[in-house]
Amino acid sequence: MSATKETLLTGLVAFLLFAPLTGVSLDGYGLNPHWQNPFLLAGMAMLGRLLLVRLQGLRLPVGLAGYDWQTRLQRPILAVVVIAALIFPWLVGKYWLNVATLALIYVLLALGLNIVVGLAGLLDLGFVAFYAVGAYFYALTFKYLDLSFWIALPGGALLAGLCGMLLGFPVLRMHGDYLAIVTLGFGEIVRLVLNNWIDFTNGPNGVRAPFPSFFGLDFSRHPMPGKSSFHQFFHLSYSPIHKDIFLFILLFFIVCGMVYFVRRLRRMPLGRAWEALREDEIACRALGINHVTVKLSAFGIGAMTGGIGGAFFAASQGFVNPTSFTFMESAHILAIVVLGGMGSTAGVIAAAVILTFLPEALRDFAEYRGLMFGCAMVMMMIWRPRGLLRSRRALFQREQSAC
Amino acid sequence: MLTVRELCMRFGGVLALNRVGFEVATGSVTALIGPNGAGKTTVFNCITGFYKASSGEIRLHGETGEKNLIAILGEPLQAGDVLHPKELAKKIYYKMFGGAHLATRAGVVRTFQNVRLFKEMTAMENLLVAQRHRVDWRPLSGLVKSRGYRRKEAAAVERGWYWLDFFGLGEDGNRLAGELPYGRQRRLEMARAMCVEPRLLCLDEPAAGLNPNETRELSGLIRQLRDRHGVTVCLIEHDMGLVMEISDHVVVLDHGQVIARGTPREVGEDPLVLEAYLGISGEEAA
Repeated sequence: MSATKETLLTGLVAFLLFAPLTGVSLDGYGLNPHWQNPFLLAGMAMLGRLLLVRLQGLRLPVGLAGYDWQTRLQRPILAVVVIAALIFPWLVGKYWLNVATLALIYVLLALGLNIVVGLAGLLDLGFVAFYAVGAYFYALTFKYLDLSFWIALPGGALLAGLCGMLLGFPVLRMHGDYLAIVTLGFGEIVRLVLNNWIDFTNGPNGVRAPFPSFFGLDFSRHPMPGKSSFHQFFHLSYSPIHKDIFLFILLFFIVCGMVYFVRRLRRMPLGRAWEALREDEIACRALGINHVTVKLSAFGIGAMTGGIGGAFFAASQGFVNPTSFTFMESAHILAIVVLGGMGSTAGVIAAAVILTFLPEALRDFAEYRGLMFGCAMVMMMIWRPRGLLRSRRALFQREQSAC
Repeated sequence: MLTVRELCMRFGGVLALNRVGFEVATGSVTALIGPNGAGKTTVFNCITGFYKASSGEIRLHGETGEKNLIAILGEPLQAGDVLHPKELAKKIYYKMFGGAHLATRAGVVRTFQNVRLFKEMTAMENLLVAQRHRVDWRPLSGLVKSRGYRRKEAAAVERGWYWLDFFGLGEDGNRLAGELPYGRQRRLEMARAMCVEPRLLCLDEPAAGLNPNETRELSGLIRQLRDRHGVTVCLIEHDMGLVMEISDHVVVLDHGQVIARGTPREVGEDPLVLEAYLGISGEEAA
């Protein structure tokens, strides 16, 4: 069947299906037609079918060469995603914008954990500790030292990275289960310290974290005397959503930077060494790779990403307390990494977005959330144990390297 | 090239190696043979730094001087060390950062009895991991793809293709190492070891699991490595045909002791060796 025929057939079926469902609505005893709805939906179905057919046509035979259509579509897809992300905050309300911000934070966390678990193969169940370090660093430095978000962001990242390396040292000789248990303990230690060191961290009552400023301009309706506010400076009428849009776009660019960083890393000596370490540590040592520094760098860079995520979490919530950093949170991030496919960047991003939006969209089924989540995990492990998307490998040609 | 003297290795109460001593001459192929459980792989593990020998010495000689392959694994600290702060600092450094990777950096590279490739990575990536010394590790230059980084990376890739071609794996550069057939995996492991640019290449049963044709090719390759690339080879092997064909010097181990050394012919006629292998005494054999 030709592509056109198939597309038209899909459109017809979709129209027949959607016309009675969405084309009319009941209004008292009368019917109100909404003819644009079925046409729109059928059009979308046709477009989707067309794309699918085209993609299948492009697919090459088995082996690594089969991924070619993905490389070809990479740039257009990337452009669409970026434009969509930049338009998105102006179209939706505050609620969905906050959900999207949370999704981006999870993308960041999952990318960080993906370095440790997916690339370096070190099972870390206490990743939330670094998230907490980043968040609390921002809140506490503001409380005691009055540091701004823009200093706390790199500071928190560095501190979290340092904590990661610190955790790395005692666990250098551990693998698998043992490593998982030690990291689990580390995560709990951090949470319990935050919970019980009441003089310093204010314990379960939490600490306030202010909203970041935009080049020194804050987002309040009535700024402090002598200072200018964002809406005054740009002569806009005040809207509380400005600051959420700002945070979303800022976070979006940081996530983009992180994605680029991780993608490059996989083709760089350091990332290759991580993956080699995951595959076979003994062989790595036999090739002269110092497994100590390689492991520590994986822990450190992963934790750093977690720290950045934490600072954004604190800024978006305006408040942090230890209940946000329980083991369930670690498990959630780990689930994202596992569902997305260990080591695959695109898969992890998709999983983070889906796993944040889906529970919000299905609020009515909140009671069954855990059940559905569990079922999804079981099904994934049976049918796609390597995750939604399998990671791609770098290809090399003769006479020129595929950088 | 390599001198092993009085090497003892104790695992609890078991004396796995008992005062083993032998030498590997520069530019030679030395074979280490012996019945199962004789301690051949233990010797290898000591030389390549995976085991820390209980006593004895292993020294690697080269143009850059001598290197003590036991010290780099970290020696126990003693009270007397306080008097020699320089030595002490060295010991502490090796205790913290020492390990098998330093033996590799000194020029001793090994392959494994059971192939240890990075299975989920392509053959070329396997070779690139091995070229630690050739590529630019700095994250920043890799992120911005600086000119120096690209040049080094390209050189490493080119080197990788060279060794792939050498071992007849030219078609497999972009295939996952784990999906290659067994014989090719073995050769890829040797190619990966060669990417480290070893001075002493230690092969642990390179012919295990190969068919007679592949074994014949292998002996040709090993000879080429020695003649064309100046690599000294030390190998453990059970295939006597291969050992007799390519080795210049044979060391026979039994129960953790060296029972014979010499050229393949000398060793083949040694009554002790016959006894160890066939379980009969020399007189009966004669």
